[in-house]
Amino acid sequence: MPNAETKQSSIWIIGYGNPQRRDDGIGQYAVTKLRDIFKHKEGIHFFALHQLEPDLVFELQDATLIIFVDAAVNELRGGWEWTRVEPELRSLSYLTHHFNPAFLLGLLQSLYNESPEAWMISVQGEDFDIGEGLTKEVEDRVFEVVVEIVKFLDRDLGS
Amino acid sequence: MTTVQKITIDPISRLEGHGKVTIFLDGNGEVTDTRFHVTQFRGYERFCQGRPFEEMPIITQRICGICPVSHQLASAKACDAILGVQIPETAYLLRKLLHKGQYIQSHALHFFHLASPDLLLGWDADPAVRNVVGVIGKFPDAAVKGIKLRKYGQEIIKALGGKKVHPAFSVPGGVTNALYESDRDRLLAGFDEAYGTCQLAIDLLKEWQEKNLDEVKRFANFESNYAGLVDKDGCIALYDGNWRIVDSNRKMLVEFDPANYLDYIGEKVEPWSYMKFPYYKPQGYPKGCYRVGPLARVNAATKIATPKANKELENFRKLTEKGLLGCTLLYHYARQIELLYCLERAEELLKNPGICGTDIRITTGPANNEGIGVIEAPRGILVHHYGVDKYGKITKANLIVATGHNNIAMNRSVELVAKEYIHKGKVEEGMLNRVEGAIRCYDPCLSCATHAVGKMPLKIQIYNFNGELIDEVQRD
Repeated sequence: MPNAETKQSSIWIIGYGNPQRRDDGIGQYAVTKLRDIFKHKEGIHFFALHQLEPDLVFELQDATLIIFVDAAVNELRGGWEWTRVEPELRSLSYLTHHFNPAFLLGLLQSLYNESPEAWMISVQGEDFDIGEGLTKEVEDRVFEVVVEIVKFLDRDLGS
Repeated sequence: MTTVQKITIDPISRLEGHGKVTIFLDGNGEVTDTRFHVTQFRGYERFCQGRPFEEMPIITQRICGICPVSHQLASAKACDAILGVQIPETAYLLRKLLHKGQYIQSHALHFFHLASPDLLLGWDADPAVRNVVGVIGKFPDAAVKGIKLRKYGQEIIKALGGKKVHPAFSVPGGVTNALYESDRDRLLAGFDEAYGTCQLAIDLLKEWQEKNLDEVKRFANFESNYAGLVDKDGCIALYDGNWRIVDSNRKMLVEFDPANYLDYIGEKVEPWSYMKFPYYKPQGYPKGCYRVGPLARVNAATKIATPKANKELENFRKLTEKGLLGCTLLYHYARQIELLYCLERAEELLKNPGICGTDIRITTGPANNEGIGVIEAPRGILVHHYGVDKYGKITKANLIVATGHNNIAMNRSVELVAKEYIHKGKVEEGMLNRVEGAIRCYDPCLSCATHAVGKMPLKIQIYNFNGELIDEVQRD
């Protein structure tokens, strides 16, 4: 659980992944739950995406806090972890259209000289086969993560 | 005794969309063969069986996060054929507009994010800066404009389908919703800037080509057939048209209705690749292999139907008259000509009085037990072919994607670059960059489906004939 000072003005929660590859849909599922919880709060915005895109920088240029939620294929202690995301200027792969959070932050810094606080919440998936719906184990894991995110944001947004 | 060494380039650590390059050397350390492997949408053809055919445009677009629109449109066309209907005129216009939005975002992304670092910063630039951030540092104005142009294409898609990735728009018999006049007007207001950015890309490319003409001529330049869809006048056709194949001198080999593709196109299976190798049947395999995508389309077509793009095509023709027809690096130039064409077409479509019509869908039951939908995806010809039972459930599905059509060409391109830069078992500086660059010209779609957190290293491993690792090059 991070101990971060956050501003209230523009918080973005971005969950991404492919919901048709079962637990790869963790990010989008988490955003659905969080959007419902925070539907009456101002200053908090949500994206449920298949993948990250470079033109997100136009939306994020005024962001003060960004939380990314994505599935992890590797084993994580407790099933999930928070990681601070720093701007990365070299992480764009050469043969792919895939963008990662650090690269998005790198774009923000390069284009707008903005470096918002950013966290990646990785949630361990169990089944990435073709199909819809999370596995029960992972659904429970996402619930824990959602609770942690709510606690984290309540410090900034107030109850 | 002949001995063989092996170099493996394993560029992408992913659950799916995995690609790697293997280079085989003989006992003297000279390149004898190369293989580019890609796994593509494993299981979709099987996964779809038993599903109602109406679901196919939504299911199959999930194959890819970059070109979902292409899959959705090809799928919807196949479903139209199962229904046995001709969709309403407004739906036809809207699908074509959606398609143009897809091209604009995809081609802009490719040039400004993937190709421009090679060209504008140089093949041999430090990998730490040879990326889009490096481009931002050196050409900040171009970089921002490139992201905006891509966003413009995505905005077209969102205006029609409600979201930028995986829109629910094209359905069997038409489309789901009409275009609001306010959205039409908003999109029309963006063309001046979009044209300007496209022209900027063309100018940057042409300037680079002039300065590097020797490399353009030498780099993965080889003879091949080319395939693309054309309209009745021989102009590039992206949404529909006849399937034309020309030879290495642009002489027509065949032109046929895509619905008859099985009469002309075979698919070879090689034991070392998950991908199939399509080829033109009358020439057999591998002679009948062909290239698809931007270079293939401009080579296969007689002309382009819009004035600005056709004028640029004339410049392209002058260049290729000088023996450059097969230059793989010219994929980039051809791609920008197509981007210009798509902007012109999108503007035409948005100014069409019927674009905001409301007659957008025909609903009826299946009339045929088979449907074939063929379009030009940004990377080349895309085929969706379905069979259904009397209840409309999918009994078979065959999908041929552009990266498959280009399979043999990408292998050939890698081979030519490797032969130039590997001698006596030593990998010359710059070889790795150029192998990447050769593959990147085709813009193969490796970003489909599931992704994994983490970096994607590019690795070359050199083994001697005993299987011992003797050298390793890696870039994170």
